[in-house]
Amino acid sequence: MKSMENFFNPHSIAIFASMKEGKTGYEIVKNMVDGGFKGEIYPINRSGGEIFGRKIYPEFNNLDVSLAIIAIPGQFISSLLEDLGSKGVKSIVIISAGFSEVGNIKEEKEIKNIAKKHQMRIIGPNCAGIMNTGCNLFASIEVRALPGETAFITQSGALGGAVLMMAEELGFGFSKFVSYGNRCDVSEVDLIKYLEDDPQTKVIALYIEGLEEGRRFLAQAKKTVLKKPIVAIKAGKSKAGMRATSSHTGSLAGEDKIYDAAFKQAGILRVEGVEEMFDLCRGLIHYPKIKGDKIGVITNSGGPAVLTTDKLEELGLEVPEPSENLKNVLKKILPPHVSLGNPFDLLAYGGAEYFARVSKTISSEYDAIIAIFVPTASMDSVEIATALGKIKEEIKIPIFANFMAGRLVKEAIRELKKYGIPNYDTGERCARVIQKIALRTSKINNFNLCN
Amino acid sequence: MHQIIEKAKKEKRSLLETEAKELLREYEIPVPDFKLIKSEDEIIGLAKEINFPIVMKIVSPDIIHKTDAGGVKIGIKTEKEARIAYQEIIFEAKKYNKEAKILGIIVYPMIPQGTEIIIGMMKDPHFGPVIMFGLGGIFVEILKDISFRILPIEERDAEEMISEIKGYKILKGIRGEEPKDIEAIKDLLLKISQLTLDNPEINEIDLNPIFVFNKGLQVVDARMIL
Repeated sequence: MKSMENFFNPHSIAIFASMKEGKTGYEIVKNMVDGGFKGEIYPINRSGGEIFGRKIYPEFNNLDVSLAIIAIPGQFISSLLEDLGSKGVKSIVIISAGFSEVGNIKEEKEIKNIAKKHQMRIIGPNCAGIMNTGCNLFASIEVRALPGETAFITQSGALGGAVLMMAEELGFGFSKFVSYGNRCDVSEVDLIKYLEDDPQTKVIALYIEGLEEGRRFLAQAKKTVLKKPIVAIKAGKSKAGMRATSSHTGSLAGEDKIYDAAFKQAGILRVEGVEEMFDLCRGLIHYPKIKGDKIGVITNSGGPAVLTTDKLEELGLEVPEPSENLKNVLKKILPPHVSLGNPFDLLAYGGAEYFARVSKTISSEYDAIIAIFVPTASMDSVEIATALGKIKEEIKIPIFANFMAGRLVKEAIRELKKYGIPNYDTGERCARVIQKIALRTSKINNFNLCN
Repeated sequence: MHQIIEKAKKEKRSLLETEAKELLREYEIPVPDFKLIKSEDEIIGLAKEINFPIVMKIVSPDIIHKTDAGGVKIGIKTEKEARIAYQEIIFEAKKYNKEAKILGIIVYPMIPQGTEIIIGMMKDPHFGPVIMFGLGGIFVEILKDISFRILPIEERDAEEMISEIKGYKILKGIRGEEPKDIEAIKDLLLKISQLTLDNPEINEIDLNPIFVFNKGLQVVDARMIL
């Protein structure tokens, strides 16, 4: 496990690559320096010279290094690995491409064997590198991730880079980022196992194209989901009928159906794409569980509330009416014209005070609240955000927000974020997130019962 | 290795319907009473063993698509009819494939039509053995309303498999109908999970159709491929 730890918390890092401006090595050193890595950075290239005020070492010699990043041409990698292995470097990231992804299985096997011989662990080859925002490690050519609580593991480097860019736009951060490329050694299974106990990670997000060891993955995921949620995108939905079978069953079992089943069995939350992944991770970070499926909708506007309710019900969640008892309590605190049913439509009275009061009052009968707000001339959306934020700390159920829309509520959304209330552009997206969290909750309750 | 499987392996073939059903019986999975008859003479007195009307089907390792080979006759009411059916089946089978090794004819009682379901098992290159469940007929053929799980499964997996298909409502009983025996389906899924685990030589299983009743079920046809 020490070698896994070295990947994410190295005390020093060596980068073997071209240090010319615009080349891989240059970009990585730049990322590491600009990102503020606190350990030693050793750029290594025969050219020598300097980069960002740091010496470029022409040779590795006997530098004390806990992590090596390699982006040199493939044919030189084996001998470099032998050298690093004999000097006790245990953790290697190989960014260089040209291995099994282009049919060069022989050389990939060779580096795997060298790693085994020296008990080294390898991430890659053909990957975009790794990051740990917790120690400002940005050993990657991609844009630096903001700090956050989601670990993102991706089989595709390019998609990984795109996700980081999108996340930057959204202000969404990551605890760890790992592009594992061809997976010649370290696999999803090793990474999930490591992240299960990583205190900085609250949610694990995966982008998978195909698994090598399905059963090992399943066993590990089943264990990990009890501690933290796993969200997965599985690409490649249409490879049905690729295996040779003669039974009826075989002809019906498309690859995607098998993955779907495996994810369900392990309690992994499958999402359609990147957008839904962000949505769900933002929800799970604050609310890893929802205790039931009764949702209360509070709104100052009818239309969005109806859309939200429709979606909730379509997804199998409940939007039940309050009990008579609760109605009586609400009657006392609300102005006379306000609807006492769910959704609780506060109409033009929907100021901060009412949003907070209703949230608190209904929290005894519902498992989660969606607060919908559309700004009007007389109402300050930031005030409402603050009021919800404060009440969130008092009540025990999750609050999700759907403040709409655009620049009108930009500042209010920032305020919500301060209190850990996720906001979604539409109530339908809120509903989808809630449904998945509820699903996870019932799954792990079930797992726990059985264990 | 189970002796049925060992024998089939030695003969380089998959399990015969009779063998697959014997194996199912060992797991206390309900299959209609059946008998393998190897000559026309064995039909004499058959009515004492098997309730008529009966189904008669060719048993041959070389004939997989039995209907195409004219190898299936249903609704046979008397021993006399059975003799005629016997002759026809053998004649058609030889016409279909004159090299085919014919081991006999399986006979079993016609059982009342229940709600049709299918259960299957196959091996995935990455996940190993997986189990499939669905309602029979158009539900599986056209709507592909089926669910899968990686084996082995636990009780909760079996429950989910049954309840997640769209046709679940049919099993629960629609328009005032009595619900079908969902417990029996769950039990069958778990038994197939166990059977697969115990017999790793079996690569694929098709139980199709299975008739489910308000109480109990019957596996009408079974194929097991090594």
